[in-house]
Amino acid sequence: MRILLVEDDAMIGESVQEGLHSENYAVDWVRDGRGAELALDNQVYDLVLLDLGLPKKQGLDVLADYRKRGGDAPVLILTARDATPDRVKGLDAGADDYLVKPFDLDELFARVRALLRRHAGRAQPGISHAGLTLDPASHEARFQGQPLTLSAREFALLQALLDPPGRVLSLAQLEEKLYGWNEEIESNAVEVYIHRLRKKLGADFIRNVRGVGYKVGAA
Amino acid sequence: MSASPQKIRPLRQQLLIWLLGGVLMSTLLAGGVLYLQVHEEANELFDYQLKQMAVSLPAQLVLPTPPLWGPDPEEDQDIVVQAWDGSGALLYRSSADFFLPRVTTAGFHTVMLKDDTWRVFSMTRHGRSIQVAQPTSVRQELAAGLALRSLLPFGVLIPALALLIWWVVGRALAPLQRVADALHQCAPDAMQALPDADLPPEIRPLVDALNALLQRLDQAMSAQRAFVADAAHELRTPLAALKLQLQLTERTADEMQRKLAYTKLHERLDRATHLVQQLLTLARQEPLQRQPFKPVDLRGLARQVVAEHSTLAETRGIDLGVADDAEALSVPGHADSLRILLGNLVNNAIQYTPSGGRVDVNVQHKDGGAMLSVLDTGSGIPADDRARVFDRFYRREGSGVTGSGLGLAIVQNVAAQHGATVELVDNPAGSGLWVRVIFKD
Repeated sequence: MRILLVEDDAMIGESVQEGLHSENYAVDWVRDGRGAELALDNQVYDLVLLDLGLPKKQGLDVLADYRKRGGDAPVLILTARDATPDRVKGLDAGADDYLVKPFDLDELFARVRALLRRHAGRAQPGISHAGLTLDPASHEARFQGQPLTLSAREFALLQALLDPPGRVLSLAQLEEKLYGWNEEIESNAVEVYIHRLRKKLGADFIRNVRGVGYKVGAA
Repeated sequence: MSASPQKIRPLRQQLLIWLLGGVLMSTLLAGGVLYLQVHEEANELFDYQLKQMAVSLPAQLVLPTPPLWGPDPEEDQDIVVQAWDGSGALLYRSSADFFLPRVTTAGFHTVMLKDDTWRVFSMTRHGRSIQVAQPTSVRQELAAGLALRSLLPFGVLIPALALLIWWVVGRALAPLQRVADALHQCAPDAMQALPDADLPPEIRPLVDALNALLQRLDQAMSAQRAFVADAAHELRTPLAALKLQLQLTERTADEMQRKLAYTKLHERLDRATHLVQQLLTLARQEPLQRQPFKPVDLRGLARQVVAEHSTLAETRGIDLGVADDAEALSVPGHADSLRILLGNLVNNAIQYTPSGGRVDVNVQHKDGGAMLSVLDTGSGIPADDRARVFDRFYRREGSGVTGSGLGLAIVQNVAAQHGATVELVDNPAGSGLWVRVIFKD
């Protein structure tokens, strides 16, 4: 899961990024409205965390323009403005949720998970497919009733493929889901993870669509 | 304003006391004068009457002496007429009871008879001496009665005037009461202008001044409210950073990472503390303003502030110092406020100047006044940003420094208190900022 963090305060940005990393999200951090616009043009983000008081371009304008251009990733506003009219304005401009600073990291993570889940069209917190169950909150996985040990990247890769199940993702798309800007991608890394997952889940669990990419097999 | 502890009487009471007292006094005075005048005129009238009576006595008439008719006790005692012939023999006397001695000189006289004073007019006519007399007590009685009757209207006049004054004073003071009532209803959170319709010109300036004061108070309070709201909002950011870092620190299992996390925690705490400190400094500027100015040695101040910041400058690799040509100039001011001003400027210069740079504090003459300046070799501030950097909580984007956004607002405040202006200009020797605080002579 790749998240765009738009936050102009260096200390808050640093901490949120660090926290999201610890939850195995790939995070790109931009510090102003213009940078946010450029990043959002890529359309690779599963979720946007948006501060409102931004230099160069206000957060609400960034949001409104993003929605106008058809951007549909869930947007969670992080702001110090807590007055009701501000919240209403934010939600009306196209935000999916609103979190007032100072906030709790656990609450931020829970809201991020909820937004991602809703966006994938699921109401259940866990992801289940063909005997595999992923719990994004606890990072626990079970396969055919047995606990399954997965590395953070393996978990993230499976989550990407199962959100929703059956969607074909190219190698590049998978890389984007797994790595932030400043993270170095080892060559063949995604293939290595797929190889490991196939060993754990069976060769047919992840299938190759030739010339396109990868998907999970039908249940 | 006098600090007299004496109780001041209400205006209404004062007006009533003085007006009623004055009217009463002048009426009494006028009455007294009128009484005396009427009295005197009555006497003149009586004299005239005596004279006319003497003159009008028939020339040939010789009346028997003593008169045949008995005296009428009511009328006859009022005026007594006597006449003598040229030899001094009594020709006539009108009263049997009263006989006045003959007065030889003509004209008016006052004589005593039987414990009573008489007013006598004597004249000689056709060889006869005629003497007409009247008891002064009768005259006095009549004159007093006359004078007192002339005072009667005052009896009606005084109460009428008193009522009128009472009413007029009440009516004239009513607008003051209205103003007071309106002031009472003035809520401190929503100060409305007092109604100024139907006000007499004497009270209007007071109400206008009050309204101007209310407006200034309202502005000050709005500014205060905005400031508190801004401050609360601004405090959220460092607190949010602090809370996030605390939670991250709690989650850290690795000992090395924990150490780093603690360092960051301290940084965030320092930042929140700094913001609170700056907010307090700003809030304290107000009471400082009321302390009297004393001469402040600017060069001494510069040396003190530079010494205080030397460690910070050293750790950041910046050459901080007082310029060699700094002059020994003094300005009237608050030493503590000016130290905060210069401290903020020097701190800013150190923060925004890259390592290896130089910061100079200088004191020079400028336009007849003194100029305190801080020159750095940092990146400067673009011209279109220079006005905004004085705004509270304004932080320049991309500066990479997480300040309180209050430093220059504080500088501006202190400078304004000292009647000084703050200028931001380019470092004339190249890149950097030159902040100049110019004190008017």
